[in-house]
Parts: sequence; structure tokens; C-alpha cells
Amino acid sequence: MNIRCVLIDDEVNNLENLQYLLQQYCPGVEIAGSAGSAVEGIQLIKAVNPDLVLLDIQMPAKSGFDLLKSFDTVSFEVIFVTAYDQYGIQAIKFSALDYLLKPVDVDDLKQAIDKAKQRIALKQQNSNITNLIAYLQKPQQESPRIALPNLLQTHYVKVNEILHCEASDNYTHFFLKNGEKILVSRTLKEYAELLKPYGFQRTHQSHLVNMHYVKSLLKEDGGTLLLQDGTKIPISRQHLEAVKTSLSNTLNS
Amino acid sequence: MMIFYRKYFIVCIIAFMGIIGPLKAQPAVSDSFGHYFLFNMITTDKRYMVREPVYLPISDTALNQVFDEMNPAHNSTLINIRPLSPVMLGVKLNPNLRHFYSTIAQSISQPYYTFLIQDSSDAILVAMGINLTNYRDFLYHVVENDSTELIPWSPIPKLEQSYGADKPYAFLGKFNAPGKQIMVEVYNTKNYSIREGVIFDWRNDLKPVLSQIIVELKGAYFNLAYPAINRGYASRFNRINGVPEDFRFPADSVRNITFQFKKQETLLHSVHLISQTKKGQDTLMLGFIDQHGYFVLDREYCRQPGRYELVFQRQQKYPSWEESQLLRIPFEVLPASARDISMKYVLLLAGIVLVVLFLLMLFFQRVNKRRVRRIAQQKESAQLKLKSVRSQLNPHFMFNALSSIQNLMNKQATDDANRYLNRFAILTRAALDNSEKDMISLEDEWRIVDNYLQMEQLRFGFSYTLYSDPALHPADIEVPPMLLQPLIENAVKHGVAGKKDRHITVQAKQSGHDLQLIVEDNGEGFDIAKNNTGFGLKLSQERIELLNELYPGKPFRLNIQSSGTGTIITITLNKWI
Repeated sequence: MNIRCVLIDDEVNNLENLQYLLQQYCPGVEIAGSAGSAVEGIQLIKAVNPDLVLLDIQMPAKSGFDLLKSFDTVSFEVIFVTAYDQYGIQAIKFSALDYLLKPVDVDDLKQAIDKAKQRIALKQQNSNITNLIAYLQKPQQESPRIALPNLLQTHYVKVNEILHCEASDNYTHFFLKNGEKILVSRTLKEYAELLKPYGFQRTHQSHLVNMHYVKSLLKEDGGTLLLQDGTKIPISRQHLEAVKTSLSNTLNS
Repeated sequence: MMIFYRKYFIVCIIAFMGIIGPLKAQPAVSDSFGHYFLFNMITTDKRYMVREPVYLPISDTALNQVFDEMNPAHNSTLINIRPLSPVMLGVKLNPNLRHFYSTIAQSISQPYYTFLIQDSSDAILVAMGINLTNYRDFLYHVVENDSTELIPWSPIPKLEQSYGADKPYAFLGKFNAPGKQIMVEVYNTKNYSIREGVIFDWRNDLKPVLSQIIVELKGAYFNLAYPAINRGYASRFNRINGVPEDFRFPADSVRNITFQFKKQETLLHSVHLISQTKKGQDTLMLGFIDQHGYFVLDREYCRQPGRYELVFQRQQKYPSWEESQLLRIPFEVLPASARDISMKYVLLLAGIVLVVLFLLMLFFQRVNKRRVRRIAQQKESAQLKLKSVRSQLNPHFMFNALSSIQNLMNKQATDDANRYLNRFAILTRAALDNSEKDMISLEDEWRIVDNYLQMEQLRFGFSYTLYSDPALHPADIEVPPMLLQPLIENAVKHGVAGKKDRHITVQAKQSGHDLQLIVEDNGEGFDIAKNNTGFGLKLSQERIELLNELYPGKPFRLNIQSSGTGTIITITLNKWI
């Protein structure tokens, strides 16, 4: 089954380039059209109703995010394509969406297309984009929802409801305030970076802790964090200083 | 009669009075004058071997002995007896007279000995050194109270031979002047250094005569006798002797008090201080009125509040404490006065204020230091942000450029890809080189801009003009590196990209002392109020704000004009040239 794809980028070069790469490396992708701006893109999407949109974020007048906001329901998959946009990428990661960096790596492109194909085949409603738009509309909010995807479903959890995370190979266990435990098929490292601005601190190579829920720092075993729910989290020697600093910052805030 | 050592007069009086003289002729110890003539001699006592003056008493029935005493063969503890002067004055007073010793007066080189005669009796004066052979060489005179010359300088009045003398000597007279003082001086007209004198003092009142009391305070002094200036330390004075009757002063207000007396030669007065304080009663011998008539009472002796009395009396072997012979000057030391207390408080307060000021100074210094540090930190962070802004603008362009190269490769446009890659390398190198620089020359900046525009021209296909005012010397003018980069990128992406007949003009102009960098495009323009043209402009604004924080006088100004027919963005560098 072919998936129908639309390319949106303000640079003709990039459109040409993506077109070439898709044709060359991604069989089963039919390019239904391309647009040089967000406004043209909206019209194109409405006209061709694509399965997938490869969307540049930075465009004149309206950005790729603006394009998404103009749809009430997003019935298509999105892969973002960007040269350099830290804030945009943060937002995308928070919603567990896919993105490609320019210049586009062929393997990344193939992988992203494959995943999109799977989701399209499952005909899941794309809640991730809803989450992204929510994140973008309240960028300063203290506790955005983060998408926690696993094979079966995606949970959207408020950041301040996460107590701590524990790594298990390439998976991550999320322990929530309400006692729920969610297994996510991504590495702890990704979440450590993503959640750092929200008061999360790596205490150990396998542990990430929301410092707001720390009750005390115990001396046992060379340092252990006691959380408010009684959980004890080990602190490795290399993280001890950072944990102390983070703890005092959290207490002062 | 005794030998009386005159040297160290005070000590002599105290220590030697009463010592039995070495002479056989001496009668039993008595402090009355006795039947003698007293001669001033200089001798050495074999026991001490110190040469010093003595009074040598010679019996008034064997006056000739005075010459025997001077004979080296004469057996005595005193050796080498010589008269004070060749005149050899001999004094005979009432044999029953007591307390006749007094001080020594000085006349240039000669000490004149003085005698107190308190019983109004006569004084007989002879000169054993003046005889038939030399009496014409001598003159004598008699002066009363150091003022009236009773007998002017005259020849020796007569020679006589009595009192057991075996040859004639000069008789200078029998004197009596109750209540007064008489000085007799004799000198050799051929040699003035041969002279001798004696002072008889018939005064009965031997108390010192007070002239004035000088009170010294910190930085001031005054005569106590003047109530207008004496700070109320005394108001009543004895009309006869001038002694203050209500002398009082606060403790520690006075540094010292000088009691000045009428200068006189014939008496020596000791000073005692009687104090009545909370420590009890005490009597201290403080010293003597000096030869000039002064006694200085130091405040050390009257620190304690209480009643005090200075007692002046004639120095003698046994202080008589006879009221008629004492001059008493009472005074009272009051507790430290209110003014002094307030003075103390003022000092204390001043001290506290000083300490507080000092602490405040420290505090402000600290605050200031902190402020300076904070400003430094702000500057530092501004620098850091500036760098990060720079690094933000570079990657954005870089990855887009790389993406373009990727496209050229995929399109098999090998020539273009090469050219593009080359330009990109030049730009990247410039960016790396300039990332550490605050300023680069306008020339270099223009080279980078040219390179960049060439690259973008390949991507978007527009025309451009890069222009520099001929009046400018681009090699000498410095500008912050890549200042125009985001604006030009803006013009390229938003102004002309993908459209036909689009043109970009970048120029540097001189306007007075200002440098203007202008980026102009003929695109569709944008609404400045909405300010949503995105990244590039925001970066430029941020960077200019940061530059203005770093450079004094905030020299950078960004001006945007945009309409349907194009956009002109001007960065003015104020007073830059």
C-alpha cells in the first residue's frame, strides 16, 4: 500500500531534495504535492488529504506549527524537517513526534517513514499533534503534558505527576504520583534531557528523579534519596554533587 | 654649735642638723646660735673626702682661732679649711637665737648666706680678712629689703680688735631692722671676685606671699583671681593674702594648678597636701616652692573628689605646724561635672557614630563590591549571550546551506555543488575565525556578506548589490562581526526567495560621524507592528541590545522601514567614524 505524502518547505532546493530522497530510498511513498509556504501547504493538505506531511518548521509568514494549529483535527502523520530549532525540537520530542534534521540523513528518513507507515496502518488518531499544539500554546506552563508512547498506546502525563523514572535496557519505567507505572520504549537518557528544565535530576545511570518529590537525602550506601512516597533512590558517586546542587535549587525555588 | 654643710642645702638641713661638729670648741648640741661668730668656709671632711662649704663657728672670745683653723697643722677632721672669700665675713647673732639658718642667696658667682632673726635682736658683722694692710681696698654697703641702700658703697667704717682677736679686723656694724631684711655686701675694689655678702632677715611672718594662682585646663589657662574668666572655680578671696576661700573644680577638669609666690631669697618653703576623699585622709609631702616662687600641683594628686588643702610652711628640721607659720590654700574637687559627663557622652557618642559609620562604610563597600561584581557578571553574561546568539545564527544558516549542497549533489549538479561547497567553507572559516573577535574590519565583513549572498543567489536566484561609500575606508572601520548576517538572511528568505526580479542592496554609508549599514530588498514587506517576520530580525534586535549593554553610550540603533514595495533595515553606529 502506498502512502500519500505532501512536502512543505519554503526552499525549492529542499523540496527538490526531499522529493529526490523519497523517490530514491522510500518505496511505497507517493508524493501528492509540494508547497513553498504554510498557507499554500494548508490548501494543498485540504485538497489532497495526505497520509503524511513532511513539514519544515521555519518558514516565512507562517511556521510549520502554525500550519498544524489551523487544523481542528489532524488526520495525517507529520514528520518535521528542520535545519536548527532547539525550541521546536523540544516541543516535538515532548509529544513523541518524529523529526529530521537538515541535511537529511537517508537512514533517518527511511526509519521515520517506516514508523509513519505503521501508524498509518493502525489508523491511530494522532493525539501527539494535539499534545504538541497544547504544548506550543502554553509554552511557559510549568507542567506540560508529555507523551509517553509504548507499543500499544501513548500516555499523556503531566510532568509534575511523574515521581521518578528507572531505566531498563532501552526502556524506561515511569512511576507516577497516583501509583501507576508506565513502560515506555525509549531510553532514560532522552527523558533526562527532556525533563531537566522541569526539576528532574539524574541520580544514577538508571534513575531520574523529580526533585520536587524528594523528602530527604540519606547518608546510607554513600547517598540515597528518600522520596515522599517512601521510595529510596540510589545516588551514584558521580551524580552526588549535582544532586545536592539540584536539591538546594529546588528547595530555594 | 654645729658644722653645717651647705651643699645640698635641703638634704643638709634634714640630715645634718644636729650632727656634732668636729671642733673641740663646739659646745653641746644646741640649735641656738650661741656665743660665736659664724664664718663660711670651704673644707673637706676626712671621713667623706668631699669638698664642701661649712659654717665654721668661732668663739666670740677667741676670734683669732679662725686663722688657726686654717692652719694645715691644726688637728681636725676638717682639712684644708679655706674661707669662702678673703673678706672672711663673720656673723654674730643673739646667742639665744634659734631657727636662724635659712637659704642661700646667689649673687652672680657668690652665695650669700642668710640668717633669720625672729626675736628682733642685733646682728654683728665682722670681716676677719680685712686688716690694717688691706682695709683701703674694700668697700661695703647695706641694702634694706633689696631696695633701699641704707649705706652706699663706703670704705670700711672701722677696724677693731675685740672678741679675743690678736690683731685688728674690720668691724662692719651692728644691725637691727625689725620686720625687714638687710643685706651687707663687701668687695675688694681691686678684684671684684673677692666679695662676700650676708643677709639678715628680721621678718616674723615667714609664710610665702601668694601672687597668683594659675589654673591650666585642656587648651586653656587662667588666673583664678578673675571671676569673669575663672569658670566659677572661685568667687571669694581673702583680702589680705589673696587666698581663695571657695576654690573648687570638677574632677579631671584641671590639668595642673600653678601657685606663684613672691620671689624671695631667704626662705625655703615645703608643700604638703592634705586630702580628705572617700579613700580617707592623707597627707603628702609634695616638694618645695622653687627658687622662682612657683609650685605646680599636678592633677595626679587631686583626681578623687573630696576636700584638699595645700599647706606651705618654712622648711626646717622639725616642721612646727605652728598655725601662724602656715599658709593654707584649701580647695575642693567636685565629682566630674555635668559638662564633663556630657563631654564624655559626646565622646562616647562620637565613638559610636564613628564605629557605625565605619560599619556602614564597610557595608556599602561590600554592597558596592557586590554591585560591581554583579555588573561584571551581567557583562559577562551579555558576552556569553552574544556568543550564543552568534552561534545561534550560524548553525541555522549552516544546516540550510548543507541541505542545499545535499540537493545539488542529488541533482548531480557537480559544478554548482563544488562552488557552493567552496563558498560554504569560506563562510564557515570566517565564522570560526570571528567567533572570538569582538570586531572585524568592514572590509572583511563585506567579504563574508559577498560570499553569503553568492551562496544564497545559487539557492534562490536573485540579484544583489554590495556597496560601500567611497568616503569610507573599509579596511580601517571596525564593526561587530556578522552584524548584518541575519538581516541579509532575512532579506533573502523573506524578501526575495523564489520570486522573480528581486534585488537585494547591502550598503555602508557615512552620515556625519555615524556609520550606517543598510539592507534593502524589493520584496513584499511586512507589518512591523506584528513583528512576526521571525528569527532573523529577532536575533538582530537581541544582538543590538546586548551590544548596547557592552559599549558605552549605547551606539547601536536598528531602524526598520517596510512597505508593500520593500523593506529597508538600517543599523546606525552612532559616532562610529
